[in-house]
This record gives sequence, structure tokens and C-alpha cells, in this order.
Amino acid sequence: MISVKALYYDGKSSVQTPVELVFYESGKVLIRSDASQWDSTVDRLSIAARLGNTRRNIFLSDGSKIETDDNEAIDRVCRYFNKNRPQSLLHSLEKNRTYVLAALLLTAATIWAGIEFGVPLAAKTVANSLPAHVEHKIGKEALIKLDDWLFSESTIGKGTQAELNRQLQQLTAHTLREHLYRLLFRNSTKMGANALAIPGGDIILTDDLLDLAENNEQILAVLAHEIGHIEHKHGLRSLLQNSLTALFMAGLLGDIASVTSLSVALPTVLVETRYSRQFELEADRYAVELLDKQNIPIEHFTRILTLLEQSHGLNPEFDYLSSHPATDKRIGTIYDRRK
Amino acid sequence: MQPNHHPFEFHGKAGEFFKIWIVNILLSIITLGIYSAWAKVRTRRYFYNNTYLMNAPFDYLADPVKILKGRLLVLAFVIIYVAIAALFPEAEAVLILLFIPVFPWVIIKALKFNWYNSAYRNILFHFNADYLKALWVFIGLPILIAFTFGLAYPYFVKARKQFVIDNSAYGTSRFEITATTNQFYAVYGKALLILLATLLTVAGFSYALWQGIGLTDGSINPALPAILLLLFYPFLMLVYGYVYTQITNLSINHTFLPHIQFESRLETGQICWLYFTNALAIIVSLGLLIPWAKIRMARYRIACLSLNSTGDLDQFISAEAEQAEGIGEEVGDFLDIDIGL
Repeated sequence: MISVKALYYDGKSSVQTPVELVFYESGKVLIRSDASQWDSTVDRLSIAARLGNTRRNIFLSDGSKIETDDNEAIDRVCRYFNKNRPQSLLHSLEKNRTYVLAALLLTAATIWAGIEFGVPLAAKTVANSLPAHVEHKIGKEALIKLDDWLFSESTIGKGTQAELNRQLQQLTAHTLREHLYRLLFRNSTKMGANALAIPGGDIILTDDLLDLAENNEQILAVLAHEIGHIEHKHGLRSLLQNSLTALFMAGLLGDIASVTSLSVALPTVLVETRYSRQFELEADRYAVELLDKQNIPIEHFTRILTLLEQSHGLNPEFDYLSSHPATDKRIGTIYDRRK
Repeated sequence: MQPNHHPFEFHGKAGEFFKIWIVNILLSIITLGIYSAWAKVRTRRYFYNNTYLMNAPFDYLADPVKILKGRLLVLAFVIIYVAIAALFPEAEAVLILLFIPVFPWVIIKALKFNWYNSAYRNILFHFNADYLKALWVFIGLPILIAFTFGLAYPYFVKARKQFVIDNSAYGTSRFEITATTNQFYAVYGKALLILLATLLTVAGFSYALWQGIGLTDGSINPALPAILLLLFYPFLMLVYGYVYTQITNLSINHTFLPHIQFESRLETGQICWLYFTNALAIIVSLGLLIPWAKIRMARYRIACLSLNSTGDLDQFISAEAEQAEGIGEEVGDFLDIDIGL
């Protein structure tokens, strides 16, 4: 026999009545107040799952409710009558320190694995299974917007343009997307010396970049890097990865968005820039292989990277928030692969 | 008759909630999100069950299966929407137009679901609203705001609060709000002054910074926008905290049930301090202090809440039960609608 002190609410009015609840081995339950007493059976009670040390609810079949602070006694009743098995499992998970610590480590490991492998793998799979025209369409729209916001007409002569285009076709012969490549020339005061890979196969070179390059090989090195972005579908993949990351973070931290949006935005930005740096290194690797095949010394590549860094006055200290790895790190990685 | 003063109390503990929180996250990940419906109910129950008024806790009774169904339905709609928008970009505008008349209905459903699953002393809360009224408040007024260059915004906030509170009931007893439109305009007027002062301060700072770290050749230091944003953030938080505190106090202090008047004594400084330190703690702890931050915020908000009653709290009678589906709640969740008294 187990007896607990409780409060009774009939469900018709908000009156609170102190009662005593008595459970018998037979399954009979006696409910006794100052004024009256009545009985029920354990089978007809619906006992709420335990949640920390919050007051326990016991619902009766007539819509009335009993509340008690004596969680331990109710747990004993549940164990004895084999009630609420799956729900009480949750509470045992939550109260055991070892389990909680294990849950913490497992969660951290899952989040890390999700960001490191899961999201990139999912994005890569989707990117590879999407039909080619989707990528072309995205590229076409991106180009229209870029032309609106950033670019003006190039001042590079038609002859130079045609010659560089011919060299690009030579460079991309035998790649996965041979004949899809096209070189475009634009002027941009906002971007300075820069090159862009548009999903689908367009590569944009700014006039400032052509001015900055000391020889033709340096331009080819930049092109090789951009070809790497396009061959690996980095544009589409980063689009997918960033949406997946945003979704992942919102799901994980979403319910605290009201506390502060900065705590959601900051990790999202950190993860996205990390992905971007990984893509840059992958494009660098591709460029080194392509330049090797064409017998172009990679010193041209490292030289143009240094020139680009100087022209932008980038601060190499700010690696974590940057979309590109620090230039000396990139150059170091390029030479490492050579050994 | 002298009214009796009854404070609300919050008994939740950060350590206890941390364990529930981490198990929730792990199970949600392992089950690929399916458990998140149960996690949501468990979390909300923890906060409701730990909120006490006159030796009785509040209850959250939602069925996780209903929430899961609602989530799956919303997911299906989002997938259909994204697919249509990707394949036929021209159709996107039509889809948005089609959604407009559905939106007020979703809000009513969400509020109904929330209220119907909230209880105190085994008496349920209720929500009953007219569709046309919701259409006016949630579609008509935002259009009016656009045409008045934002001047109608405080009126919109008041209408929204009134829509929620006046259509809510505890058992058979209706809630009522008596705050006037002028009082809402006064809050936003002061907020605007704070914002202007903020802008001037930041402009001053920017000028000083421009002089200090502008590059010698006259071009802009690339780090400048980031620094300005970082400077501006605490000020924005202050304005946000002020508006939240004042609007909450104003609404609650003018809310009544028969024989009962509610009272909220939030302070702007305290709320901003909590926002700021919570954000800092969450970032520094890599998210591990999220449960602590949530408990801390709830404790402060509830500690500021009380009611004055001239009758006794045993007088409330339950209304007839009605069904509320989970879908509205989830759509409401998805669109981040501010639901709450």
C-alpha cells in the first residue's frame, strides 16, 4: 500500500481540494478528501510521464485531475503495476549523469560529423544528380545580377580577348566539361583585380587582373584555379551547403532565436566561410594538377596569388572569418603537394 | 474590498533543464527530427509545469503526434512550394498571393492549438476569433503600414495584442485588454527618440573611427563596416529591449479577467542586461549555456508577473471542450509568429 498527499481538481471549476491518494496491491485506488471519499483502479488512471521534479499529473477517466509532488511514490506505483514503461525510460536517461555526459559527447560528435562530412556529402550528391541545365540556369541568373551590381564593360581589346579565349579552350581540352567553357571580360571598380567562376562554365576576368598579371602564364594559372571551381561544381555545392547549414543551425538553435539572433548567425557564418576556404584549397589542388599537365611552372600561380594579396591589402590574421585561406598558407599547401 | 496580491513563481532549474535539453537534442538527431515533436512538448511542459500561481502549476497538454503531423504537412507544403518556384519562377508570385488569405486562418489555428493545450487547475484556456477580424489585423494593417510609411505600426501592435487577448478565455471567463492606442504610440515615440540618439552616437563614433583608422590614401579600411556593425549591435539591443519591456508591461498591466487584474514589472535595464549576458554566455560556451540562458530569462520574466484579485481563484468554470488540430501551431512556429499574452 502506498499513500501520497495530493491536490484534486474536478475539471469543471478551478477549485483546489487537498486529497489523500492510496494505492493498494490489488490495483484499487482510494481517493479521500475531508468531505468525501471514492475509489477507482490503477488501470483507469492515466499517469503523466515524469519530467524532472515537476509536479506529477494523474488524469482520471471522468476528466478530473490529481497533482502530487511525491514523484518517487508515483514512480514506485508505476514500476509495481508496470505502467508507463517507455516514458519512464526517458526520465532515467535524463537523471543519470553518465547518460547525460554520453548524450553531450554524442551530440557534439554528431554535429561535428554533420558539418564536416554530412552536409558536404549531401550537397555533393544532390549537385551531381541535378541535370546540367539547372546549373546553367543558376549561372545565367547570377551573371545577370553581377552585371547589374558590379560590372561595367571591359576595355580589353577584342584581339586579346579572343586569344585568351583560345588559350582557355586549350586548357580545358579533355576536362569533364570541354566546350562548355567561355571566358568573359568585365571592368569592376568595386572588385578590383579578381576572377570569378560562374556555375555552368563561364569565367569572368576583371580588367584590373589583366593589368596586375606580369605575364600570360599567371593569367592561365588564375584560369586553372577557376576551372577547378567549375569542374568541382563549387558554385552549386556552396549554394546547397549554405542552405543546408542554415537549416541545420536553425533546427539546432532555432528556439533561442528570440534570446539573440547573433548566436545563430555567428556559427552559421563561421561554418560557411570554412566551407568556402575548403573549396578554395580544392580549386588550388586542381589548378596545380592542370598546370603540371600543361608544363606551366607553378611559381606563376604562387606569384599571382601574392600579387592579388598585395593589391587587395588583405589582412592575413583574420583567417576564421575569411572566405579564402591566407595566401601564405595556400602557397605552402601548393608546394607541399609537389613534394 | 482590498484586492489580494498573488505573485507568479518559477521553480525551473538550469541543471535539471540542461539534462532534458541535451537528451532532447540527441534523440532528435538520432531519429532524424521525428523526436523533435516530443522534445518540444517536453521542453514546453518543463516551463509550464514550473510556473506556479497560488500553489498550482500551469500545464501544457499538447499531443506530440499531432505536432508531428503538423510538421510533416508544413514540410510537404514547403517542398511543393520550393519545387514549383524552382521549376516555374513565374508562378512564385501567384503562390504568395494564394497564401495571403490562408495566413490569418493559420494564425487563428495556431493560437487555438496553443491555448486549448494550456491549462491551470485542470481548466483549459480557449481562443475563439473571427476570420475577417484576423484578415484585417494581419493583412489589412500591414498594408496600411506600408502606405503610411510606418506611422500605423504602433496601432498594428496594439490591434495584434488586442486580437490575441480579447479573444482568449480561461474556462468561460474572457480576457480583456483596456490599453489605449495612445499609450502604444507613446512607447514607440520614446523608442524612436532613443533610436535617433543612438544613430547620432554611432555617427559620431564612425566619424572618429574614420579619422583614426581610415587608410592614408583616403580609401575605406575594409574592416570599418564590421566594426560599425559591432558598435551598433548593443544599441539596437537596447532599443529592442526597451520596446519589448514597455509593450509587455503596458499590455499585461491593462489585462483583466473578471475580478482579476494582471501586473508586469519588467525593467528595460534588466532585460537588456539579460539579453547581452545570455548572448555572450551562449557564444563563449559554444551553445552549452543555452538551457541556463532560457531558464534565467524565464525566471526573470515570471518573477515580474503577478495578479491582484478581488474574488477567489476558485470561481472559474470550464467551457465545453473543442478540438484543435496541430497544424496551425506548427505553421505558426515556422513563421515565427509572436504568440503570447
